[in-house]
Amino acid sequence: MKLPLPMILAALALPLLGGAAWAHHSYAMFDRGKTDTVVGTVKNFELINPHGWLQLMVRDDQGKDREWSLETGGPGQMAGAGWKPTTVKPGDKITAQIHPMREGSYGGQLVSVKLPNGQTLESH
Amino acid sequence: MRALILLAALAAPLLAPLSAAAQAWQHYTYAGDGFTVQLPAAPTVTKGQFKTTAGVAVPATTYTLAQPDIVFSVIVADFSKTAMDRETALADAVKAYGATGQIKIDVEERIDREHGRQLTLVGKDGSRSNITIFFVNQRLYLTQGKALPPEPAVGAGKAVRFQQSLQFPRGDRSQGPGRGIDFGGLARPGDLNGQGVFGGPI
Repeated sequence: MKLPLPMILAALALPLLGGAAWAHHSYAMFDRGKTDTVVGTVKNFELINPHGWLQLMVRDDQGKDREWSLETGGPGQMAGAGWKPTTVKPGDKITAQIHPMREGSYGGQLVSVKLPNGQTLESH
Repeated sequence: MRALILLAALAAPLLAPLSAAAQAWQHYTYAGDGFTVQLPAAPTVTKGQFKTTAGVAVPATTYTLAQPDIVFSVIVADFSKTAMDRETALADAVKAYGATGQIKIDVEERIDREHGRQLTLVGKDGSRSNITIFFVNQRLYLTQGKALPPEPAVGAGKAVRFQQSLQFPRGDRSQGPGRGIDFGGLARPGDLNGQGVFGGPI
């Protein structure tokens, strides 16, 4: 049996779209009515299911570097927005727009990133 | 040829390494207890009991990973032999946590099609916790990322990530509780550290 190419392509694309169709969780802990800017140095970037994570070292008011956990979209969403696993690397200095944690802790939902080369990429 | 190039382009994201660096965190799946979390190392697994604030004791399994700045824990309490309902179980867990400190945030959370709660708690000991509470298939799930004093800011970011990582793999739904622990090839039976009794959430 010979399957038509569009059907094969659609079947291959399904796993990439699954995360976008039904998000893993409801983001209730993130204040989605608020957008903050954090500037820091990338510690690690993991483009994994169901959501990726950008670990960012951010200097606080007292001059101490704190690790922030920024949740990104899933691999399919991120690829659709132009992200690759190598888009950010440990040591990169970036500016991130986030929906912060409701209680002001060291994390949030990543909205977009301004890369060292000046390019801006959306996350969700 | 064109079709092959298209196929290769679509398949590439599935095959390529998905991390910019070595992954410090990994998924830990325990099919027998019906959950997956992400952690920076394998937890220790302990069998014991869980007590509600009303004194009802049920079998429970605790998964714990202690680091210098944070303690990650998952408690899975098996209420299958009780008439416990979801709303009562969630409310009781919130009450128990509230007795250990000040709840700063208490919101409803959804994971796939399950509904539970997420809390942030400032402990009486100066710790800061991100907590998730769910009741699925007559099991109570309590996850807690407890950033330790005297400087909870050091571990707070990791607590956020841990809190958001809980999943309930759909393949487990038909198994029901009481099937024992599937160590997922990650933890070992040797990690079981005897019998403990948990006086509510730790």
